[in-house]
Amino acid sequence: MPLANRRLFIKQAALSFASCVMAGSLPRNLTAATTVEGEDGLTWQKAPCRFCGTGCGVMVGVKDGRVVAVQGDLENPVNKGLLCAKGYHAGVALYGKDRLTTPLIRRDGKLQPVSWEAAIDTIASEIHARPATFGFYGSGQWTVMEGFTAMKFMKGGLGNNHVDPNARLCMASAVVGMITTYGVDEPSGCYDDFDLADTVILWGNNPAEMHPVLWSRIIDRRAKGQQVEVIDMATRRTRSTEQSDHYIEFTPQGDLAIANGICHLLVKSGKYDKEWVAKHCNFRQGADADGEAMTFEEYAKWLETYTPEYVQQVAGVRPKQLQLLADRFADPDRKVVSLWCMGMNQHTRGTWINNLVYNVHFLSGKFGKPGSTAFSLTGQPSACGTCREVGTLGHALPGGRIVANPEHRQQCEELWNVPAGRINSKPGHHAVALFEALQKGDMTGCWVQVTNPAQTMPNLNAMTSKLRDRFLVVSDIYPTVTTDLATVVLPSAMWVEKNGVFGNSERRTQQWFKMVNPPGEARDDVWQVIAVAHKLFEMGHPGMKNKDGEFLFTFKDQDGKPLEIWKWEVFNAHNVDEMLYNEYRPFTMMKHKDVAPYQELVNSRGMRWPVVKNSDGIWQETPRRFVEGEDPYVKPGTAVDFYWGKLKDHKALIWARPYEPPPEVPDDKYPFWLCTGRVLEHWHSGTMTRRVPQLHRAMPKAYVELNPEDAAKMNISTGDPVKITSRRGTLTLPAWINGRSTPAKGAVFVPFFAEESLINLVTLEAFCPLSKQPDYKKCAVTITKV
Amino acid sequence: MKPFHNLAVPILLGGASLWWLSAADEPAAAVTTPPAYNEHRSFAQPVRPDPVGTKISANRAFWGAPPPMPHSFPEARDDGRLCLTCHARQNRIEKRQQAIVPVPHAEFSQCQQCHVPKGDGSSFFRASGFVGLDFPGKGTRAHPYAPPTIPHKTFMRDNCLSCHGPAGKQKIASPHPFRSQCQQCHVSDATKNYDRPVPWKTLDGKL
Repeated sequence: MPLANRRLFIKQAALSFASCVMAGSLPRNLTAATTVEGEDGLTWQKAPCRFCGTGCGVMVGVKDGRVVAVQGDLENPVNKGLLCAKGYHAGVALYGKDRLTTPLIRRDGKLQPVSWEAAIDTIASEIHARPATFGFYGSGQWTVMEGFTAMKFMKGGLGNNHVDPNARLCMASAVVGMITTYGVDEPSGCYDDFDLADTVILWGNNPAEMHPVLWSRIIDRRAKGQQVEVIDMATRRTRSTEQSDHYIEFTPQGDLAIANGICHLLVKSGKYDKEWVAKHCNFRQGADADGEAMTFEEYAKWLETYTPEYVQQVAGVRPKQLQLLADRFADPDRKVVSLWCMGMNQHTRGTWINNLVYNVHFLSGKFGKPGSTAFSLTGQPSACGTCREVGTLGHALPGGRIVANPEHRQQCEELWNVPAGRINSKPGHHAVALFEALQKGDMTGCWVQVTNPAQTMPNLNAMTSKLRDRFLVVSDIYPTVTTDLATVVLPSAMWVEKNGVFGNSERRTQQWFKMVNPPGEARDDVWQVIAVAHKLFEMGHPGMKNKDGEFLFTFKDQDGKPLEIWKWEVFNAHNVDEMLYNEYRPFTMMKHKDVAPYQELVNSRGMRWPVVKNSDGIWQETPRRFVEGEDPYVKPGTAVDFYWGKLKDHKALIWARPYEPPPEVPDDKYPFWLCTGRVLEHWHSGTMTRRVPQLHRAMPKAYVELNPEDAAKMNISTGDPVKITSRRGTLTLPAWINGRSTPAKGAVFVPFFAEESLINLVTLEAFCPLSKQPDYKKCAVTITKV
Repeated sequence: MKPFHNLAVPILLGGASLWWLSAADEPAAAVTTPPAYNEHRSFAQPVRPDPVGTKISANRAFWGAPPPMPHSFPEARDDGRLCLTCHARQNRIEKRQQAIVPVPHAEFSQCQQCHVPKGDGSSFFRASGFVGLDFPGKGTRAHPYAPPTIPHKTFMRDNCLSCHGPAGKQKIASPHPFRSQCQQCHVSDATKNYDRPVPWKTLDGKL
């Protein structure tokens, strides 16, 4: 074999437009690419994984225009070469034979193929007729620029704030928790802390299945001879429990009492970090986001309710177990990391429990130190990068701005170059309210991108049963239960079929280039929105003009000539992602969330913001935020600086948030707790992972997990059909006993990935009043053997 | 999954020629002349067909994908801690003279994170058109008596005998499994281990 063919080389290709045309429409990386060429036309290129919020780096193997393999990226510091079963198969998810390849419009009750022109025209006409009652529902699977484009179109164009993401159902409580605690969203710590912690505490979290690579990062330290203690606090025994040193089972919602109980023991024993608290914390009480000031003495008195006996009574945790937790925090030499995800966020007091876990870490001073942090994990690949940083939420604007603040609106109007007053001051609907309004008819239409609400909203009978009667546009890659309800279906490009940027749980922004063409006529979600926007511009919608009277999404070439990016051939020949990213980047600087320049992302395996140029002229990332020596925005000499502190005094808040029982508790009629969630093999509503034969075969159907004692009492064995009924709906599933996990006595668990077994017909739509995030983890059901 | 069909190759056993085919193969497709791949096998070794139902790489999406678990757990318990009972390095040979694949990456302990149950080998939720990357083929050798280079990445493949030992597929089995210091003679190829952090990477193609 000729040496040249086998030679490793990094391609720094400055491709001309002509060579791009010659290679079809690939690639879009017109500036530069980091591609490794292997043998026989096989190339490897970096991308972040398509699935969860961990943000593992993958190397995607492409041959003859198709993805043929995926491997872990050894250079990516997130996963260091390791992936999970889903990640290895991310490339297979592109090739389900039922990919949507042409736009569809419902005619005579049936979805029928139409041209892109017809589909765009239909959507634009509807929005033109009813712009104020049209919503946009996206997700944390949106790339940063997809979310930014939808936001600019809706808020900066239509003057309509009804944009909300699926992420509302996923991490809104973490967002409001952080904002109420230290005045700005997103974690302070990073994954490096997992490598250093002496104790890792899981607060209703099962990373062995949901964040497997991070779990390995923690557990595999033991194989290297390191000591790492894991304390699993949960309502069911999971794969994470198997590897944990302690399992502390609690009654659903009891986490509120446990966190206060730990604080009570710390304060009572005097074993809290007095210096840290005095330097960095204020105390606050009240149920809402603002609260009222209180003194430390008042807080200490308030804590007196949370005696070990009281905690045992409401949370079912033994005093010894509570003491064990308190001892870990009281030990000044011990490094402690708390981890949580949906267990704390999908909670009718999600904001409170987020606040309370920070309390524990603040009181013990276990925050902002290597190996000690409170870390909120995310479930979607860009929940942080898109939903939280771009702010694709009803009340928000990009860059940590909010629509209710006139100054913020003005800043965004200036950056978007739209006339003053364009942005509406009234917050838009949050997810549950959006679907309730669609149900009632107050909202007449909605565009859904990269998510599947007809499977994932809670209490589906009350949320999505009338969607068929509304003007529903769905951009997706496969037929789903949501496309079944659509008026217009748009076929989308997926993952490495387009350019993109994701932001993961540890503030790491990662970029990738398009590597293969989407199938058929499938096109980027960004293009879809721009094409509809331009059609509205042609129809004369005033909102589609910027301050200069030009089209809202105007980008110019080197000669100052506007690029007609609403035309697919033009869009496809340019890196529109980079142009949008450059427009977006200044927004991020307003709240010290400075993302890196695009080219820095191209040349790195992601960078953790704030990314600021240091005195040597090097763009430097920030592993730990608010920490002196790591975060450039920290005031020297402070060690830890909460520079966005709610009271503008560079301090964080310790909140007195009480225990409160959940809205629906098992009773005689509905005696069991129902908890829902994911499994390792499937991601979200399963539309991608179920089309991977290896993953589908491993986990082909939904099931209901029961506690073995409960099952024995009801004479239920594995495989028996069991009917689950709540006040809202019913579903029959096969039982699984001693299978993947074991729920506590009196509780059952059902995964939500299966479209033929919609557990969300049964769940409750009650939500946290502060974050508006619904609670999928607890409602009351009855269980009967069929 | 079909892509590996054509890889069934003959094995020479003590002068007698035997054809071992992977289970799903059409017999007519058998190779008529021994491929060069196995020519270097200078002496015989115990040969057995791949044990039924426990083929290591069957059912993988592509070469390099983690193989699904080809069997269920005892008592149907879904407990990953049991894996290493049999698959730890020191437990390589099982009683019935049948080999068990030793774990090639002992530093990773969360087996089920990547290796999911194989399940019903034929079922689809929706059909897939994915065609996976094929096996990496042979390494290179300077001359017929030189040891071939390693034709694939070595990351997570620390124990060569996991695949190339008695538990692996015969067609890639080492003719000298009693020698355990594989990389003493078989060197890895930097062009295959392209993403392993190496100091010479900055040479930018001048390898």
